[in-house]
Formats: sequence, C-alpha cells, structure tokens
Amino acid sequence: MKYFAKKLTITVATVLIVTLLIFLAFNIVPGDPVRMILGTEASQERVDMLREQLGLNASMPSQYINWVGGMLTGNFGTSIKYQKPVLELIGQRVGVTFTLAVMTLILTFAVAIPLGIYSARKRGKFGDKAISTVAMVAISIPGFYLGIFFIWFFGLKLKLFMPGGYVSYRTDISAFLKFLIFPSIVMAIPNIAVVLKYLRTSIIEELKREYVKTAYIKGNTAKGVLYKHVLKNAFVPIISLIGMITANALGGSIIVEQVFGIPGIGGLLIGSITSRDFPMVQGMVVFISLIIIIVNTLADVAVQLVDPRIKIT
Amino acid sequence: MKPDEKLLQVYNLSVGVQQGDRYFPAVDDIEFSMREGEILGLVGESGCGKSMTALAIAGLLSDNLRVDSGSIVFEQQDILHITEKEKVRLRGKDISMVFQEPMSSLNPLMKIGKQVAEVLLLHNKRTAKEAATDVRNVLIKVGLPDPDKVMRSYPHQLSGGMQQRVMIAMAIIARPKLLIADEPTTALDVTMQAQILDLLTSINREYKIAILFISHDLGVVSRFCHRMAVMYAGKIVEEGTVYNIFNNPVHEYTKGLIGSIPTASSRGKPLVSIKGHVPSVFEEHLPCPFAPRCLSAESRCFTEVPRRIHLNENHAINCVLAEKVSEVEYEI
Repeated sequence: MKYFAKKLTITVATVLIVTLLIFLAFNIVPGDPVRMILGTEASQERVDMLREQLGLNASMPSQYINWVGGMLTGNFGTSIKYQKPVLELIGQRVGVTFTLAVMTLILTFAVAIPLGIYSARKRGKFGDKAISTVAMVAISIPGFYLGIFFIWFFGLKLKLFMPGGYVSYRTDISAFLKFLIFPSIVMAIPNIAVVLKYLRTSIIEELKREYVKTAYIKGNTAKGVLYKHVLKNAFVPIISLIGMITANALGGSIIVEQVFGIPGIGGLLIGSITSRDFPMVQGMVVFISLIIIIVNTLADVAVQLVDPRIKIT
Repeated sequence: MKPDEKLLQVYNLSVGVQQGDRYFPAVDDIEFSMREGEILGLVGESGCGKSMTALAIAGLLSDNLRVDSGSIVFEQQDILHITEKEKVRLRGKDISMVFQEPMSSLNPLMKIGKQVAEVLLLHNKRTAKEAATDVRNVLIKVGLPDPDKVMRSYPHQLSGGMQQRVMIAMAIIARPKLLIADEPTTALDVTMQAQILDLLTSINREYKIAILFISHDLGVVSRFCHRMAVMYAGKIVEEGTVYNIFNNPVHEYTKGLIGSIPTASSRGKPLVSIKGHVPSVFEEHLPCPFAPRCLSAESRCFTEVPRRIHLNENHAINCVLAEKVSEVEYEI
C-alpha cells in the first residue's frame, strides 16, 4: 500500500512537471499567438481585446497558475476556432479514438501472443523464420502507406468498406464498427510485429533459465513447462511495452485518422495546429500526456503485481 | 551380485557437444551402476563431464548436447529409448534432481507452496488439499520450522540455505527411488553445507532414496558417500567403495586428488597440486587423457586404450598400467 501511495505521488509530480514544460514550450515558441491568430493586418484594438481575453497580459507565473488551476476545475480553456470549451471538443472526439484504440489492442494481442509463443516454440524452424520475415516487413512499412494500400485494396478493389464513408456511432453503431475494422488493422500490424518479436525473444531467454530444468524434472511436459512456468516470467518485460502501445493507441493516431478520414483526437490535433488554435493545442497536449502518464503508471503497477521481486518507484 | 538388484546401470555412455556437423565427446564411454538406497559420489574437476552425466540420466540435456551411444538402465528399463511420455511419468516420481544454484532453480514468480505441491499434482497422487498437508510435512522434514510462512513466500524471500531445503523437499515429496544431487552444497556457505549433507544422509536412511552425488569436493564425498567414481576428461578412471579408494588409490589421478586434500599434518606446508591442466572438450583426446600429467606414464600410455580392470568386487580402474598394480593388498 505504501508503494501505491508513493507511486501516486510520483505520478502527480510528473503531471505537474509535464504541464510546466508544455506551458514553457508554448511561451518560448517565437511569434505572438494573438498576431498569429488575427494576422498582421488586424487593428491594435482587436489585438488588445484578444490579448485580454486570452489572459496574456498577466505575468507568466500567474498565467501558469491560472491555467493549471483552470484545468483542475475542468476548464481546459476555450477553443478560438470553434468558440467552445476545449474539453467539450475533446469529449466529442474521444469516443471514436478510444473505440479504434480498443479494437487495435484486442487485435494486437489476439494475434501477437499466439504467434510469439508459436515462434519461440519453433525457433530456428521454417514457421519461425517465416513469421520473423513478415514481422520485419510489417515494422518497416510506414503507416500512411499501409493505410493507402488498405483503402485501395480492401476499399476500392474488394469493396469491403467505403473509403471516406465514416459513419458516426450515433447514427449506426454496426456500420461505425465495420468502418473502424480496417484502420484498426493498419494500426495493429506494426504493434503485432513488435509485441511478437519481444515475446519470442523473452520466451527463448526464459527457456534457458535453471528453473526450467526444475520444472521438467518435476514431471511437467514441454507444454506444461511453457504455460505454467515460462510464460508468466516471459511476460514481465513485455508489460511495459504493452503499456506504451496502449498509451499510443489511446492518444490517437494522427496518420491513420487522417488517411481514413476518421474524426478522432488525432484529426482534431492536426486541425487545431493548422488553424493556430493555441488553447486547443495546449489542452490537447495536456490531455494526451495525461493518458500516457496514467497508462504507464498502470503498467508499472501491473509489473509490480506480477513480479514480487520488482519495486519500481 | 545379481543384476536385478541394481537400481541404475549406465553402460558405455557417451555424451557430447554437437556443433553443426562436428561432435565433441564430453562423456566418453563410461560405465557405472547404483544399488537401491546407495549414495554414489561422482567426483572430478569442473568440465570433466560429471554434470553432463547427471543431466543425461535425468533426460535434461539441452539442445546442443546429445547422447552418442550407450544405455542408461533404470529398473530394467532403458530410459534413453523410451517415449517422451514415459520419461515425463518417470521424472519427479521415480527420478528427481537438486541443482547447484537454488535461487535460479526455483520459479521466481510462484509461491513455494504451489511449487512443491506441483510434483504431487502432476503425478495425480493427491488432491490440492491433501497435497498442502504433504507439503507442510515435507517442509518440516527438510528443516523448515515455519512451513506455512514458507509456503506463502516467494523464492527471493528465502535465504540460499532455505531455498536449497525447498529444492530438496520438492525432490523427495513424491518419494522417488533416485535423487540426483548436482553439487547441491557448492553455492552455500560452509555451515549450511554440513546441514544440507546431514539432511541428505537422513533422507537416504529414512526413505531409502538412492543419491547420485555430483561433487568436486573429495572431502565431502569421503564423509557422505558409500561408493565413489572418479571422473577425468569424460572418463571414469577409478570406481569403488569410498573406503577402498581412499585407502588404496590406484590411478595416478586419484592419488593426486587425494594427495592434494589439505590435512592437519600438512599445515604450514605448500599446497599440493597436480601439474598441468584438464584438456578441453574441443581438444583431440589421447587414448588415456591423463597420460600427459601422469607421474608413472610409459610410452604405451599414449597409444593403448585403457580397459576397465576389476581389482576386486568393490574396486575397478581404467588404466593401461593397472595389470602391474592389480595385486593390491587390502587391509580389512
């Protein structure tokens, strides 16, 4: 319990440091945000008004405190472009991105774990080499290329889905899920390759350990040794990797969302950056950082629960 | 001696390292046997092939090692030529093993209680509930006074000595007929060594479990074993009762080993050692690998293959020169 309290303190501290860094980054970047938004032609009156509206006349420390304090009460600021609260805009998009992320993760683990185990069991044999080669290719292909290929092949050639025909889950949930299948495959493919390669290496390393001999001499079959003893040990180093993949998927894939025309967080972020909607960008960066920090903390806690020897602080 | 009294018989066993197309013998044509309830010490320097012999008997050779020839007969059954299924049935139930490093030999993520009980559950001997009682009893037997606490612990929460006791508990819980102990005390400190040896002795007496004791420590072997076999560079050079070998060592290597044990009378004098070094597995072996280091080597030692010569029922030797020394006087 003491461990979890400590972990929580560290997490909160991390979040504070991250907000500070984001705040400083946005202040250090050259250029006046007000001028950027309004353009160089704008009258001084309008510039002063917007400056006051954005709270940019206060000192830097008090700006930071106002901003963090606002976020603590759920006020992430107001989007300049949409004239709506940042959090509300994120809320509208988050469902799509999270659904896509969950589908990606289910796919990743459903495919990568059995393949990783198979590869480790058949190490050096044809099946393992074939999987390794395909995985290498899968890691190397850029996401946008794979996305375009999927649109062309499964969308235009095989007509399995309608490219650009995104349907909101509010209109038709099954059409919505159907549309997300192909982007989630595109997102899962490199993840599958990474997870299966790590898992394969980890299992092979574990099989060399002395306790494997003990497990055999007790009368376990090769399968028993693998599933009862080796697998749990082999998963310990994979948990952090799973955490990172999960955090990335939840943060939204800018590329895949753009290529498939999905109105998720990634698309919102790109749109906000191009339209210089700086309260929106700032709010989204904090939101995505929060997801990454929380998921990684959960992964650390999971490692601790699986392996009693490890104390990550 | 009738052959059916034997628990374990090893004939012409050769085990080696397979590297691509090349095969390097590490255990070369060895032969020994064990009776029920006997403690046999297998002694030799590191790399002489004693651990590999143990692993071959347990059927635990790793992928790059293989048995080249010979047979290992356990209770009238050649265990080198049985199916994997039959091997699985034998392991844990009839043959068990304790290793050198107790810490790395236990599964770090499984509680001790579960690890020890697993042996019984695998061989369908007990239900989970009955197994727990057995585990508690065997932990007390191996000298762990607070069994419930130990059962709830993970391996890293125990000391090295306690871990090795757990390993022994695991090895004896199903009452096997043969326990292979591969340097079980080497990783422990001296006081713990003595305690573990006492424990193994009492297990041997009480349950009549035969122990194949692999060690490089002649002193330990002389106190603990009934019979011993001395290995050098993959060959057994001398075999017999501990009494015969210590009182009448015949092979020059055995003489050298016994001569190099420090004793009270040699206090203050320089330590005795055998000149030269053990040939590596990957070197070309002479017919008698010890010949280059042997003090009485003759020219024929470098050409003739030594045969196994029985000096008497309880003493055998592998040496070309043994004909000369075959009239050993035994003080009885």
